[in-house]
Amino acid sequence: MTNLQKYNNVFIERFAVTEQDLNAALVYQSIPAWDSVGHMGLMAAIEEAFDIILDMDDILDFSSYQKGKEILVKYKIDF
Amino acid sequence: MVDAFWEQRNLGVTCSEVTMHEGDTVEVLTATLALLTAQYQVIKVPVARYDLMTTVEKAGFSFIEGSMNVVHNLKNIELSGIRKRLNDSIVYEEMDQTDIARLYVELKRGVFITDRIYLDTAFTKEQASQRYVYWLEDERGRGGQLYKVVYKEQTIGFFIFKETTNGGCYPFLSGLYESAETPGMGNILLHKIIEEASRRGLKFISSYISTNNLPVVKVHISEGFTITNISYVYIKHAES
Repeated sequence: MTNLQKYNNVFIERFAVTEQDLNAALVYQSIPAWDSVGHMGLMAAIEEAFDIILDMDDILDFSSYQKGKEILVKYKIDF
Repeated sequence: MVDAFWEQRNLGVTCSEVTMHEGDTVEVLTATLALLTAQYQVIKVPVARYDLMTTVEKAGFSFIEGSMNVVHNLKNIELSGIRKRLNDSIVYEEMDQTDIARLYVELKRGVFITDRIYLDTAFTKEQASQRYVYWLEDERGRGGQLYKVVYKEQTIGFFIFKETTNGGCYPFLSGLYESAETPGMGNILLHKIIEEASRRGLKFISSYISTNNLPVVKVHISEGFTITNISYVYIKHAES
């Protein structure tokens, strides 16, 4: 499984969205599932999927599907 | 029936608030409705009381929100994993006068946009936000204490803490500042209230939240609150 597939699966499983929903429009609070509670679950699932520990600033900056990919590059996860 | 006289100052109208209980009959409700003369009338009806709901609707009331009573017993409040790391990076402390002035500015910008006053087109957004300022001032005068929640020296939100006479507390208002609405902060803000209640050795937290604000409902459930009661809130503006 590629990193992109892993990344996408986390969103699909946490937010019950489809592959087509994974685009630049998917940002924090753009769907009901991605609220404060959903965000904590998403971050935990990202850490588990990639076996990393996110910095606090990165957790708070992780404000969109696209931004998340940029942040994960810092953890040597390439897409 | 309560004469909500404070709403005259807050909103410029006379206001009566009625809370119906599970055992109340349509006859009791009808008799109560006949007594209402205030310009702004609010009635809270227990869930699953279709007879009462239809009665208030026929009397010209409109449904505006569900009000949920939520309680936390302050047991098992330890966090783990990512929530603990985030929580540990954020502190809270009692506000000074400068902090309170900033809070009131933030409130006037519109921190709360789902409550029954904000949504009601009979009132202005300014009235809705000013009402919170008056409310906090009233409660400070009755012993409520305001706290700010801080991340990296930036105030991101606030809560008011008020102990009750039965060993609990009633943190009736908390919120994140618009400039600091970053992902995940809602959970942490609520957890700071839980921490303060636990630090004081209190037995429980009891609060009311609106079904209009689903994220806040979800945060309370996620932080271990139990829903103990729901009532439906109806409003009416009497014709002058």
